[in-house]
Amino acid sequence: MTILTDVSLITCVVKQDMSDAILKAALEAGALTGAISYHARGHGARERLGLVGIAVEAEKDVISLLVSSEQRDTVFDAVFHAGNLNVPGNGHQYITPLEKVATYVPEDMLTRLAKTKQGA
Amino acid sequence: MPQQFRFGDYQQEIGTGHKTVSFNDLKPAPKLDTDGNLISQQEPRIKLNGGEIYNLIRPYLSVRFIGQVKTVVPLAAYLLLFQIIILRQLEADYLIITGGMLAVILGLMFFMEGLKLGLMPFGTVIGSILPRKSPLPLVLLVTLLLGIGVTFAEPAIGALKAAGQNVSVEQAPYLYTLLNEWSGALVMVVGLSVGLAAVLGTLRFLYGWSLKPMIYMALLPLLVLTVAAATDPDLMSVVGLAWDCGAVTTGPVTVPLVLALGVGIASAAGKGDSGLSGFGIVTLASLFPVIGVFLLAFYVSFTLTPAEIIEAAQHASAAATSAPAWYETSPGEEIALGVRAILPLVIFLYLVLKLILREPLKNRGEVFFGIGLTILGMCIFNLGLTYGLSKIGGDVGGLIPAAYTKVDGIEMSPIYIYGVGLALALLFSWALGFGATMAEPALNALGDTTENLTNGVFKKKTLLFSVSLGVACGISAGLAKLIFGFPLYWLIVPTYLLAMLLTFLSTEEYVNVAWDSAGVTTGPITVPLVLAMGLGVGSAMNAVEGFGILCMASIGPIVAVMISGLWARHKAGKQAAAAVKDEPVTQSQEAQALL
Repeated sequence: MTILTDVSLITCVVKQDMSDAILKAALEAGALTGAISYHARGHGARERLGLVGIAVEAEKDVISLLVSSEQRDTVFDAVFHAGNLNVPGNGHQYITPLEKVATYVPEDMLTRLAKTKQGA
Repeated sequence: MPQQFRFGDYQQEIGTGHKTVSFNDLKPAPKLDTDGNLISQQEPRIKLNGGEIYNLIRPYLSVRFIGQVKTVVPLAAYLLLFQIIILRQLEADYLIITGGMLAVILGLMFFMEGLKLGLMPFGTVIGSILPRKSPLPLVLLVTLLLGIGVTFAEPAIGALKAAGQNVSVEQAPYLYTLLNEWSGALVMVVGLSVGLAAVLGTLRFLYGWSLKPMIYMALLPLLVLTVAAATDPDLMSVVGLAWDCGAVTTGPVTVPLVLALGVGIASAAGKGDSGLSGFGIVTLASLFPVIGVFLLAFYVSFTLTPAEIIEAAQHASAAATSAPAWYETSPGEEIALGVRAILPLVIFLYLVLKLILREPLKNRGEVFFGIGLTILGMCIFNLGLTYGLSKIGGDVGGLIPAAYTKVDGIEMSPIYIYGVGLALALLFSWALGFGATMAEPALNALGDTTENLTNGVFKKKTLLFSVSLGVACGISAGLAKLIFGFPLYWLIVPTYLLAMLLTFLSTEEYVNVAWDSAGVTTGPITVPLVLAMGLGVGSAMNAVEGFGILCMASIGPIVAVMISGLWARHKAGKQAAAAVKDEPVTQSQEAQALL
C-alpha cells in the first residue's frame, strides 16, 4: 500500500454553471488529479438576505480537489479568481488538511521518485 | 548559505493581499442560560450596500434576460429581414414593434422567474404530499381542477382570444361566436379537457397502462368529429380552431405543474421510476381539448342558428358605441387579462395547500413575490403580444401573399412571378418553423431524456432534427392549405391516420416520445407568432379563417419522430444482424469469453 502524505483537500462551493471554469482553472494550476464535482442545494444566505436573496442561486456545484500541500495556495488563489469569489453570491471555498491518502500510484512515478531520491 | 523554503510555506507566510478575519468575530458567541442550555439567538438580516446588491443582481438578471433574448430576437430578426429583403417592404411601426418585442422578452423573463419562485413550490409540495395524505378520488379531483386553472394561466391562450377579433361574423358565424360571446366557455372547455387528460395520464402512471390504446381511443372519435364538422357547411370553419386549441394548451405553466402532480402520485404509489413516467399527459392534453372544442361547437350549433348569431353580433356592435371601460381597451385590457389568468390558479393552489393538506407555506415572502412577478410578467407579456409578436406575425402574414399575387394596398404586388413567389413563401415558412423549433429550450431537455430512454439508439441530435423538420413541413403544409384554400381535414385525416399506423408499428418508448414532442414545440413565442401569421395570410387572401397552421405543426413532428425512430431501430437491427454474421461466435467461445 502506498500512502500519500502532505495532501490537502480544497472544497469549492460555486454556482451551478461555474464548475467548468473552476475545473479549468484547477487544471491550469496543475491540480487536476483527484477532482470530484457534485450537485447540491445551498441554504443560508438566501434566507437571511430578504428579497435580494432570490438572486442567490440555490443550485450549487461542489468541487473537491485533492492537491499537494505545495500546490495548495496557488490552487486556492486560482480557484478564487476563476470563480470570482470576491463577488457576493458566487460561493466559497475552504482547505482541509488531510492526514493520509491511499490510492494506486503508477510504477513509473515511483521509480522516477526513487531515482531522484538516490541522486540527491 | 542558501536556505531552502517550500514555496507554499513562503506564500502563506507573506499572505499576498489576504486579510484574515476570525469567524468567531462575525458570529455571535453562543449564550447559555443558568441550566447550561443553549439560548437560541435570531441572527439579524444581512445588510448589503448598493454596490454589493448590484453585483449580486446583475448576473442573476443578465442570465435570464439573455435566455429570453436568445429565443425571441433571432425569430424577430428573421421575420424583419424577410420582410425587407424578399418582400421589399419596410416595417412601418418599427418603434412599436421593437417596444413590443422588448415587452415580450421582459414579460417572459419575469413570468418564468415568478413561476419558479411562486407557483412551482406549490406544485412540488402538493405533488409530493397530496397523494400520500388523501384518497385517490380527491387527488384526481384536484388534478382535474388544476388542469382548468393552468389553462387559464397559459400565456398563449391570450393569443387565441385576440384572434377572434378579426373573424368575419357573416362568413363564419360559429367561429365568430366561439371566439367572442363563447370565448369564456371555450377556454373553460379546453381547461376541462386538459384536466381530464391529466386525470387519465395520472391513472396511466399508476396502473402502467400503455399509451397506444389511449391514442387510438382519443383519435377515432376525433377524426369522426372532424369529418362530421367538415362536411357541415356552417361548422366547417371551426375545424382549424379546434385543432389549434390542442397546440395552445401545452405551454410553460401546464406542463411542469401537471407533471409535478402526476409524477408525485405515481411515485407515492411506488411506480415513479419506470423511465417513462411523466410522458403521456402532454399528448392527451393536446388531443382532448380538440374533442372538447368540437363538442362545444356542436352544442352551440344546436342551440343557435347562424342568423341569430349574426343578428346578435350586429346588435352588439351597435351597442358598443358607448366608450368601453378602462379594462376593455388596451393597455388596460392586457393587465386585467394577466391578473385574471394567474389569480384563480394561485387561490386554488393555496386553498388545496391550506384546506386539504393543512401544510404551512415555506418561504412565504419569496412565494408571494414570485406570484407578483408572475402576474407582472403576464401583463407585460400580454402587452408585448399585442404590440410585438402578434403585430409582426400579422404584418408578415399579410404581406406573404403579395409575393405571388395581387394584394390590394401593396404596391408592386405581385413582387415575383407566381411560381417563384409561391416557392419563396413556402420556403420562408419552412425555415421559420425549422429555426424556431431548433431554438426551443424545452426540446433540448426532451432530447436528453430520449437518449437515456432508448439507451442511445435514438440520438438527441436526431430528435432535434426530426422534430424541427416535422414542424417546418407542418407549417409549410398549413400555409399551403391557406394559400390554396383546400379544407383542413384533407390534411388532418390522412396525417393522423398515418400517425396511428406508425403508432401501431412503433415501440412504446418511441410512441411516448413522439407524441409528447408535439406539445414541446408549441411554446409561448411560437404559438402567437404562427397564429398571427396564419390569420394575416388568411385575411390578405380573403379566406374565411386562418387557423390550422399550428395543428399541422404539431402532427408534423409526431410523424417525423416515429419514422426516424423506426429507421433508427431498423438500422440498429441491421447492425446487430451484420455483427452476428461477421463474427460467428460459437457457444463454447462465448462461454470462454465469459470466464
